[in-house]
Amino acid sequence: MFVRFLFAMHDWKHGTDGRLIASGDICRLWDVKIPRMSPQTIQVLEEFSERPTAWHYGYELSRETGLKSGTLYPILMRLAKYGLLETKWVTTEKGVPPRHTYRLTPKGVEVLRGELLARARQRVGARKPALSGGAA
Amino acid sequence: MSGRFNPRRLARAMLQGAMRIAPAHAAEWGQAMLCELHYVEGNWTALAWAVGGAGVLMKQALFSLFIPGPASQMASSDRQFFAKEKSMRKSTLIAAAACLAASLLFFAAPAFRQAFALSLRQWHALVGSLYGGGESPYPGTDYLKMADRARKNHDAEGLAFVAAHGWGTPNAGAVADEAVQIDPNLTWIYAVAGARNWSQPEFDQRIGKLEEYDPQNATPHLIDAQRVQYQDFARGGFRPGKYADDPAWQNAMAAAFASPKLDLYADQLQQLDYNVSRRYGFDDPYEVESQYFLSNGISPGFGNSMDYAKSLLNSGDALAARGDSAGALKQYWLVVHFGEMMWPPQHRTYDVLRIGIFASVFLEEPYKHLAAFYSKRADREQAEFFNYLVDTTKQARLSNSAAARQFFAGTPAEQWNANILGASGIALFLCASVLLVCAVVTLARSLRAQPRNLQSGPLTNLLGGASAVGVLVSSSALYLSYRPYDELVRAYLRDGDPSHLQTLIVFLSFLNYDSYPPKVGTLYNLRDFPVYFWAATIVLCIFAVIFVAVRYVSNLRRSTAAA
Repeated sequence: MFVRFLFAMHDWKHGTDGRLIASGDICRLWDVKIPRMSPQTIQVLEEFSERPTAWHYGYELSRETGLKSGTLYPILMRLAKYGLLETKWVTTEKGVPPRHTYRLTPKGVEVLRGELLARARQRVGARKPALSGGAA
Repeated sequence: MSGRFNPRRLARAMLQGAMRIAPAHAAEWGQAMLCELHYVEGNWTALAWAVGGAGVLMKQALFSLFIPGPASQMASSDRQFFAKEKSMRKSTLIAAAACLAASLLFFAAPAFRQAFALSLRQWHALVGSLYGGGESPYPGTDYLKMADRARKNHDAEGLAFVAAHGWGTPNAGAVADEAVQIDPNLTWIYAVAGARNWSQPEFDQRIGKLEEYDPQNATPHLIDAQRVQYQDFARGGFRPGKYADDPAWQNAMAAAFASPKLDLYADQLQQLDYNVSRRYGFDDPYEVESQYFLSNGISPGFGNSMDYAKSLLNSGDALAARGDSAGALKQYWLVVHFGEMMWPPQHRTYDVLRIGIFASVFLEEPYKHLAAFYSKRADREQAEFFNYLVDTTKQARLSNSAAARQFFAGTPAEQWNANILGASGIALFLCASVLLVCAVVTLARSLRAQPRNLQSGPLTNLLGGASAVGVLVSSSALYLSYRPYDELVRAYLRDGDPSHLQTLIVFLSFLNYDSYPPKVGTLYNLRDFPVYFWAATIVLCIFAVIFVAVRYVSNLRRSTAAA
């Protein structure tokens, strides 16, 4: 299932209606799709977010997130499919196989930021009644 | 040691194998997992890595079977997005159209049309049971139209056929009169029509004519007795009446038991059916089957015969007790004589079994009475002889019962073919419905699209393609499951040998959908498929509605949150 989101690229200055959109704001754009944000997908994105500009290896991501290859690679494939991840082949040393490496695209960074923001809002929203109840 | 098990080697082989079946768009990812395998620490961890990776690639391969096209492509813009859909739609459309055309071609084959009609009858039976219709689920031939055609052609046999077969045909007696008027040799048709329409009072005179035509036969008297029994039944408000005390019934039964022969006109009827079927081009399997079983309709008053036989035996016992041995023996031998007349001609397997069972049951009793009679008179030799006949008839009954059970049990092939035919009919209906829905959805989307061209989403493509394949597969299964039985009908119509029909009868008996709702404990029975099918359809529809509602609410919430 896909959720249609509107997001502003961090380098965009204007929305479709000409209004100025602050960098990192989440708004609606009907012609862009992002994959379903499962907890595992968020986990992978969070792993990327620690060093957003660095390239990551598949096995390294698997170890750090604790996800098996059968879970990790479909997520990577989906992220790459939706342009949130860029891939590259690198040769580390002679005689060993090249490695497939991954890095978030600017769009991926923005989606991750939006997701984290939404989660933070949800957490705050969930805590509010308890706090107000305590105040009363 | 070279033969030692190496998990890493196995892992590599597994991934390489999976890469062979993976679609093109997943090849790079397969290569990535394979290369990464080199860096995975530990042999068993490497194997686990490969198992997961191979699973991913196989899933992609499976997915690509249903949705053609580069599924990994990113829809980065409107143009690319619709370009992808277009390629998917085009290939799916071609495949679906090809499957549908191939399925429609099946309709050109008469055997397929028959199989299709048979598969539709399960729905007919279901609808009938739901609405409590007493109508037969097997509509068969339009006998009124057939009678008109026979009249135009002065076809006595055609008219006799309508009189004999047209259950509930108005004026069946008048149609029989027309047939006899054209050909007096067909007077025996009154027996068949009379046995089937014995509640109609206008048959009295016709049975009289039959008695004149065939004075030695017991059949007209049996029909008379049956009619008396019915009238008594009707007079008593359709409660079991005391027909046995009615002198008319007793006279009719006495005449039947005293008759020198019992001819049920099976041979004449079989010849008539065969001639008419060929002349009018009947190839409906149920029609042919009903012709085969028509002799059920001309076995009139066998229940009456049992009642009368009992009264004769009781009367014989009473006479014997009074010391009137001659009178007692006369009564016993009347029953034996009638029982012996019942042994049927040997050319119809089912008749032999059916009437044979009845005849052996019928004969057992008088033989027992005769054995007891001679035993009381210390005539050991005669008593032993009749005891031997009791054992023989008992053995004949048991063996006939076993043969009858075997006859209807058929072979697993008949049951399987009947089940496949029923299931294929349902699958065909289901797939055609899904295909129709997909076509409507595609059309609706296309009308809204700018520019106007065929637009279909991946789900529509997947469902449409799968259901088109389903239509083709179920049509093929329907045709193949019925084809052998169509050959049997044609063989019967070609050479008139009813033995061809025995397998057909067993096959059709597995197709009789007449008990709804199914009883608990018979869930495995594929004949009850329509009930389960509709239950499953309703459940799926409920799930679909819940799914759509949940999705709508979820999207609405997200939209609100994002705004």
